[in-house]
Amino acid sequence: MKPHPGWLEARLPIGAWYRAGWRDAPVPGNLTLVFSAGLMVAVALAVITLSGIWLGLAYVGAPGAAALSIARYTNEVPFGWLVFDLHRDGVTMLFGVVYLGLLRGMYYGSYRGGRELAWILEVARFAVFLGLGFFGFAMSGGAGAQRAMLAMARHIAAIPLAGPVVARDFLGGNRIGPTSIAHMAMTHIAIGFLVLLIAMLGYLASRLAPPAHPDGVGAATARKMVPQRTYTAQIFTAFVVFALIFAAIVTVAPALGYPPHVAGVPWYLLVFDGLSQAGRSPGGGVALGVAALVLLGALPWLDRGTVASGRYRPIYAAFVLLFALDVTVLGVATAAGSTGVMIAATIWVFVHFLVVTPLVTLLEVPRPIPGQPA
Amino acid sequence: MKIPLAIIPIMAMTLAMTLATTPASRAAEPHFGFEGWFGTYNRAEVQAGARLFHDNCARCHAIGLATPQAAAMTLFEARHRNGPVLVYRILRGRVALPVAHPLLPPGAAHDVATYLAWTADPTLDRRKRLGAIALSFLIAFGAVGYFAFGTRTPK
Repeated sequence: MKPHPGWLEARLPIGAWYRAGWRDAPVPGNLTLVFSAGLMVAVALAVITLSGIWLGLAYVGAPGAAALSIARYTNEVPFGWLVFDLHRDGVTMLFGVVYLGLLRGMYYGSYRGGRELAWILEVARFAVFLGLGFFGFAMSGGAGAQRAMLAMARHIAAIPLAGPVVARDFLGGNRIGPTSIAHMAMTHIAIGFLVLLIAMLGYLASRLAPPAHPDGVGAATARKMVPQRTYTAQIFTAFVVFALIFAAIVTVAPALGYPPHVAGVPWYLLVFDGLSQAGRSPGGGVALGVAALVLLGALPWLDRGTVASGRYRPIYAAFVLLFALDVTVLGVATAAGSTGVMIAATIWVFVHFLVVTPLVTLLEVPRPIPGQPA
Repeated sequence: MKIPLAIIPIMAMTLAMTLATTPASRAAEPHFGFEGWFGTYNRAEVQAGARLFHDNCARCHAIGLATPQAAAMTLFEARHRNGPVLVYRILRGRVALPVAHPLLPPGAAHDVATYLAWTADPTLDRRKRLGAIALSFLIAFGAVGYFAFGTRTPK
């Protein structure tokens, strides 16, 4: 017998919606812990948005004043340090789970079989996160941030036709002036709220498409569906691990991954900083960064294989892990300033997408998937 | 395959962080207790450093966040890689500067470096205390959850 719905439930059936859309919603029965990374993105986004609003109240967007306003907030306002560290280390956690989610998608072929749009939205969300990270870094106003702003203006100016105009608009003039930092801050805040919409759209696309799982989209094991609530313990585990790492970073090394004021970019921008430097010129640099993102989004069409999951095509799976290693090397080489390694790693990024992915997925004979006719 | 997949980016990140933040050589560098995982400031050292700063450095340098000054030392250590070690080395004459900088004996240099770490990050003690509580809570929370989820199977 169904319980009688309450006054609110009769008018706004949010309980029924929660039960149908989450608690009892069918999901594949073979999900592993890494599939909870997507939910941790939501946790990180909530922390970043709330702490960001509070941080924005203390922030003064003017050259010379930006860094001091934040220093005053962290050093003199009760728990100001906590709001600041939750924001900057929340970003580290966000990019950690975003990079992990992208690697998971590449490894298990979660971008195929009707999930192309969900994948493109995930890559687009990643691109917007990178932009947000850049604007957040730029509005901190240090010497390294000002250098990054000027470099970005040169990149924008290299875009044909509209570039020079947009670049001046970006900086608020020809050079860093009184309003430049305010431009960065306002853009950061505006895109910060916009990205919540993109994330929600991506969640819907991912939820409504054929489900991703470790045996690959469409494989027979996906037909063993279980209700979402079966995964409560796994999501709890993912959350506790996430929160422990987050708390440890805030406690022990809140500046982890952030360069001191004088030089460098935050760790999550290093890969794209490396790509833009390997491009050797503002136009070439921005083209390489955009091309890498477009190729990542084009994986559903670059992948020519008959099965999706790396579990059943070990050679391609090894190349995906090699790609992850290559991207890491690219970031480390950029931080260390070793141009030779940086260029070699950049070349491998494009070789992976344009040569390795189509050829290996086409030529590799997949292992049989258990319980599925070949 | 879930374990290697989860561990690779974490290991890669740790390696990248270590390489990006560790200087090439740490030989013969002073040790600062507050830089450890749960280390806190030595109050006596901070106070001694403050006295030494006001007696020896305050003629040219200032402390405070009121106005952006070139001579303000408040955030100096936050803005330089290995700030405390850098201050110590400057005060021991081990860093080449455009103009000669007055020097202090080793103990005094160590105290001033500790004091400037405190001015740059005065909430370090509070952060580490609250962080220890948060980490303990999460470990207990995880343990309770582990046993709670272990004793029932959701239908």
